[in-house]
Amino acid sequence: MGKIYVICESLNYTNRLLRDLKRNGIDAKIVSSPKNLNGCSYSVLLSDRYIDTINGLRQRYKIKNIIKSSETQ
Amino acid sequence: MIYLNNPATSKKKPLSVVSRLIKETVFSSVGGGRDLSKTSLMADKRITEVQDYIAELFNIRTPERICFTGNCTYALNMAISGVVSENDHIIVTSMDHNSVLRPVYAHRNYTIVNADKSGYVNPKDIKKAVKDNTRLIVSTHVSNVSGTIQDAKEISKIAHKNNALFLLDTAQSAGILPINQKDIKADLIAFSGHKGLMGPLGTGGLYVDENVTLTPIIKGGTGSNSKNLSQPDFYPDILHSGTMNFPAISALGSGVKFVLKKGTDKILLHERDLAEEFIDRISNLGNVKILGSKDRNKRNGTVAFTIEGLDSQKVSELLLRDYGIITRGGWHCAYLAHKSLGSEKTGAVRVGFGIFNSYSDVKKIAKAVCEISKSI
Repeated sequence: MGKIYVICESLNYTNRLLRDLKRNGIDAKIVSSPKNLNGCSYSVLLSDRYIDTINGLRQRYKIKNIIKSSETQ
Repeated sequence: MIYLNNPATSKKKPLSVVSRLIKETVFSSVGGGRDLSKTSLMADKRITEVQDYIAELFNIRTPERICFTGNCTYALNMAISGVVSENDHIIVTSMDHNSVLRPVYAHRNYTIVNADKSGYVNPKDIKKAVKDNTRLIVSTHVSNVSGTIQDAKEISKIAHKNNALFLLDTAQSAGILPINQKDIKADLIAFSGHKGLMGPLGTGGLYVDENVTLTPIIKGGTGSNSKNLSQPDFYPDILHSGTMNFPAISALGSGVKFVLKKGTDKILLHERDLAEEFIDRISNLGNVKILGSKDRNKRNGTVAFTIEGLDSQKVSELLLRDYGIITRGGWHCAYLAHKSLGSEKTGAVRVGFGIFNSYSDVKKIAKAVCEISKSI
């Protein structure tokens, strides 16, 4: 299983997304965003098995990018 | 010293607010998200928490649309300037504070709807003032002079029926009266952080409903979208230019938590009880006139009065000098309110009871007013 970086418009949304994921029992954390990406300097990092969940939250949390961790190396 | 100027600011704060303010000032004086430290990250997290507490208090579904300002005056100015264009018409009331009246006066195209002698603005009179180009209706929720409560829900309905927005000024009601956004459906809510919400000076905010397109009057660095020269169009960043007063906002959160724990129903009951006791004790004095509604359900814990033959500022001075009681005499940045209430010549003495005042305070000020009124 890989990981995904979820990059929101701002830290406010990043914090909210993290909080709501955790409330729903999804293990996630805030990390520095991969370089050269538009959006917040911080991302939410979590397992890529939640990609469908995250896609469903794009509008709510102003998600700009979802990047697989393998794509950032 | 007895402090009875709570409509200006709630001087006594819960210990949790004071300790939070000190702690954050010493250990966390950072801009949220402005560096990669844990402290900065935690600061932004705390700001989202404070938004959530206010959303809970006001029953707001979208906490991210609660933005922080230095005070309610800034929030009102941002709201008024942000939603009206040159040819738009604005309706305000005679009970509104200068923080509403002055920016609206500068706009030029407006109507002031007068309140009755009790300080109540009849929504029907607002309806009559609506024009084809009315874009915004603004009303104070509670008068900062007489404590009279306006019918926010009804005014909101009138605004929406006429395709106008409704801005509710909750400077005197937030943290004291129950405010249910689901019920009122205001498009914009301006609030003061340092009065009923028990936060420190230098706090306030504006809630902007999802259906509102607001043009920010202040643009600048938001810690987001730095490569883009356009101001972010998402909330709260759109209204969060510059470095925020994080320690104060964090302490405001503690104030809101205090209010949530106590309950606005209990706070309002307490303040109303004190106001009613005070009114009962001075209403028989022949030369004392009490302003505002006699019905306790139509007012909060603020009582304004005049003493015939004595200037209101002189009375306030005597109360402080001879009795150690802090009140406010004069026109309270709301001259039109005094015109409606009939006190435009002398102003009035305003006594504002807060959650930390007691019956002992009521007895002392009632005795003082009695003595002053008999000394003429």
